[in-house]
Amino acid sequence: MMIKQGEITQLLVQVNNGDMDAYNKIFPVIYSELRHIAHRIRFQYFGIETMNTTAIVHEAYLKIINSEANWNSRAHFYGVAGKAMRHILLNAARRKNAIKRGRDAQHICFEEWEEKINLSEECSDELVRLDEVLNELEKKDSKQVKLVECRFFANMTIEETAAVLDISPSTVKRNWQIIKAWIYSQIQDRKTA
Amino acid sequence: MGYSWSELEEIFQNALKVPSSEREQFVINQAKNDATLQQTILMMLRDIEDADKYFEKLQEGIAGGLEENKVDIYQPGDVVGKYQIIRSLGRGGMGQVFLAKRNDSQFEQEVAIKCFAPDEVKNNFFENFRNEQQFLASLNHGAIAHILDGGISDDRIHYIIMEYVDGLPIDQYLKKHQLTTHEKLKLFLKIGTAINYAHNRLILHLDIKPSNIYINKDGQVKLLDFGIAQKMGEPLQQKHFLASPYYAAPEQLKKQTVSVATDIFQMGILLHLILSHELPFAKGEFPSSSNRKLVFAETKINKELQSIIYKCLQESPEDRYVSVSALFQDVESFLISRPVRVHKQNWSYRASKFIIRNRIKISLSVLLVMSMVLGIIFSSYQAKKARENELKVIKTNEFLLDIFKSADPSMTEGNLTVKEILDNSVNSIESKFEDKEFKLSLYERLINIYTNVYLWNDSRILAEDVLSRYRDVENLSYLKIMSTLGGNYRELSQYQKADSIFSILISEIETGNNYLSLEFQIENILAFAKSQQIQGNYDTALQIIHKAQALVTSSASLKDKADIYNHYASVNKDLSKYDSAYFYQSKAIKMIQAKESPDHQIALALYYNNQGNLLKDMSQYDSAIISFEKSISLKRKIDSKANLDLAITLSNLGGVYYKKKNYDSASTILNRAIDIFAAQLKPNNNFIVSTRYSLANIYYNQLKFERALSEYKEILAADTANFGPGHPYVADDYISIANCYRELNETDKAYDFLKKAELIIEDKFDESHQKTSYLYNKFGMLFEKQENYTMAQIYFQESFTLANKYLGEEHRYTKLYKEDVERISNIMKADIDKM
Repeated sequence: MMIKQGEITQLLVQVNNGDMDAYNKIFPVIYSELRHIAHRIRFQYFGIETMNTTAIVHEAYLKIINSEANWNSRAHFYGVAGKAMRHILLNAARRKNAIKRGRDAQHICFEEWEEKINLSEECSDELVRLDEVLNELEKKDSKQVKLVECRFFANMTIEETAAVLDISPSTVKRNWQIIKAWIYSQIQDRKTA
Repeated sequence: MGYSWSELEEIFQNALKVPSSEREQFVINQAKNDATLQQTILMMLRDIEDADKYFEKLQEGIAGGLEENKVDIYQPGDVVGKYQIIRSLGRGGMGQVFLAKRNDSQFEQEVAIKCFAPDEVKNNFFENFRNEQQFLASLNHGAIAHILDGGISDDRIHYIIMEYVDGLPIDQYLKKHQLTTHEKLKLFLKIGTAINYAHNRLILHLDIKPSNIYINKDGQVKLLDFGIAQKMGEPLQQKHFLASPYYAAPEQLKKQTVSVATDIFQMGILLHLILSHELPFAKGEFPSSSNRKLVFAETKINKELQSIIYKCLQESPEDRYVSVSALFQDVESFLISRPVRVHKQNWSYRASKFIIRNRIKISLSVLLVMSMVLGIIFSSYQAKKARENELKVIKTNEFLLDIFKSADPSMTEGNLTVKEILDNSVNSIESKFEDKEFKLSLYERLINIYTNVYLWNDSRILAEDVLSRYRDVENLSYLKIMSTLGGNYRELSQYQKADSIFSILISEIETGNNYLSLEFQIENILAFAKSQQIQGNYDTALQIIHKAQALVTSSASLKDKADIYNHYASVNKDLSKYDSAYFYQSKAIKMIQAKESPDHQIALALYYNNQGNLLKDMSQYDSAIISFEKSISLKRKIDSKANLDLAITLSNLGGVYYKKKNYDSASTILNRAIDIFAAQLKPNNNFIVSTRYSLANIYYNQLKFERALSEYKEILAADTANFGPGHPYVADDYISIANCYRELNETDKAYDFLKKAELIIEDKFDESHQKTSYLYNKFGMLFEKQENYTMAQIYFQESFTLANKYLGEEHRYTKLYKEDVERISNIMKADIDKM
């Protein structure tokens, strides 16, 4: 898969406009970077000390986008990376749960990185549950899901999220609060159910 | 499908605006057709905070899953080389670190072992570790953690064994200990000193960050991982970041060439972090080469310090400070409340000027190195061609030294100080030349130059370093550097070190190395004697001079013999054995009196000068004047132009008139000296400044305090420009200014200036130096003026105790301080009696 440097920006914009073909095209690039970085983190190598999703996503961005990229393409990248991160973590969580239940995880994923993500059982359960709730949210308002991907999975700032979604920062702030409260209520529902 | 998102959103938002007691009813009313929506919103309102916590916890879990590597590389008890693992110290940025101790019972030595993931280490740093070790071992500095060993274990684990530092990383340390800005800056300077030390050895850190800077239990700074990034860096750059992205300089992010400026950048981040506990970037912002926006913790950091940080954090390496010393100058300026140079500049203006300035800097240092190199080439050429021409060779080199000596420090117009030129030269020598002996002879000259411009400390640091690195080159240059270093230790009041150096030199001399000229031998024996003399070990000094005397054979020159008598005279003078002193001094004079050669004439002029000083001490002021006049007329004969020697004697002569309380003659003579120099030199020249200093002292003694004060202030400005804000001369100026303010009853100002002086003196000298006791005495006088006798007594007593301990009870300062102690005790006694 060869993507030219300048093309990435273009693809990112398209993905953020909802173009899933563009997402499929760029996902491998982003995925391989995220994977590579996470693989490295496993060895706690060079530099990054308190590594979390933010740092991974940011660093992946630095690898992919050349240094001259403008702020907009950076924001767009985060949006896409957030989605990619969500997928990756979900796969890792499912794999964990599959193993826990003694099932073969073959149908899900064999990617090296995901095998090395070592989520706790509790965290895996929560991630799977979160994904279900996000799918519910998708049906109600897909834009809110995007906000979660940016704000939570890509750990973007309010301003950056606002730029990707093309809404005001105060709207992001307000919506994020509602979404969090709503997701939590849905998760509580599922737990008690 | 139920409620829509917009419905939910609207009711939830509005409910938040209603008082909490009415919310439930409000929601029930608003969502009356949808029980699920009702329940959902009520739950949401109830659990807002829990929701936040839920997401935080989830994120933590994800981070844990991504970074956990549960397998320890080693278990306690495992053996790595000579060491046994005690426990894991944690996972640092570069791998896992273990505490270990030596496996054999030879030493009780604890070490830290840093292990690296093997598939991440792609270059041959570890394979060749034994070769690299020399490079790392050259970092022999108290604030840099030693690298002891390294390599690859049998199980292919790459490791480095280093000094174990039991302490806290600086960020944690600062959270635990509340330091003032001043203390923080001092700490920063300590870190920078170590970095500068490494830079002078062409070793970069490239990963300066809190977790690499420890403060150990004794409060000492220790830098970890020095040189590791540089050594491991090159091949890894393709794949990885060299530094933590948070601390990486733009050129590291862009994978461009790293340099001293890279460390400067990281020091800028560190300084910001130390001062504010925050990174100087927008929150949530992540470092990328072009997008990183600087955001300073403006409320927590002083404006001037902000501009210093700003200059460190310039995007382009050439816009940052050129060296750690340049950065230091500004930090030190701030510390002693001088306006910071960079702060005054308009930045866009400055940017355009920068290239021009830079070019000047480069050409000046190149010029200096060029002239030194020319000297060397010329001298080696000469030496090879004709051994008998040795004197000429020496002359050539002296000539070059003189060029530099007479070069006016103010010539550089603030673009760079002499120190900066010299520092640059050190780097040039190391990078430009290969041949060890050749480099050593260049260093020998450079070290001399540092000494000649009174940068004793820099001279000392360089000499120590060169001596430790060139141990295998045992030649005359090496011994000459030792000799200079010994002299420097003496100037810096580090007598024990001075003594040990001279002892080595003397034992070298006594083994009978035939390449040491008799002149060199005598010179160093006498230097050793001088060191003993200054310490008040007069008997030892005399014994050592006897040794020199014993070396004297028929082949010894008259000048060497006379020099020995000159030293005898000097020791006797200190012993207040004025008659003996006078006898020896006269003998020295008689020996070479009739000699016409310039060397003898120069020595003779010096002896007359010393005779004058001796007579001054003997209170024979008129005879002293005659001796000084002789010295002066000789000096005039040797060189019709005024030179440094003449200035010294003129000011000594002025001093006699001053003693005679003949202030008019004194000031006339001193003014004459100033006039002579003013014709040739720029106004800020140190010769002029120091003579003006004597003049100011006269005004002070004439009780013309206002006039003295304004003189001292100008002298202060000149000294600061010439020598930098942290120089001992500047401290002297502060003290003099304080004295004036004290006499003018502006005691608050006086106190401020004494404090400024204290800062420098504390930094440059330890308590054994006479400046320390002198300063305490001045504090005492100030408190006495304020009629705070208790404090005055404390300071006078401390001043006397130190002087008594280090200068000896016979020293005239000691006696003076003792008088102060007695006077204040009497005052206090009188006060008590009154009550």
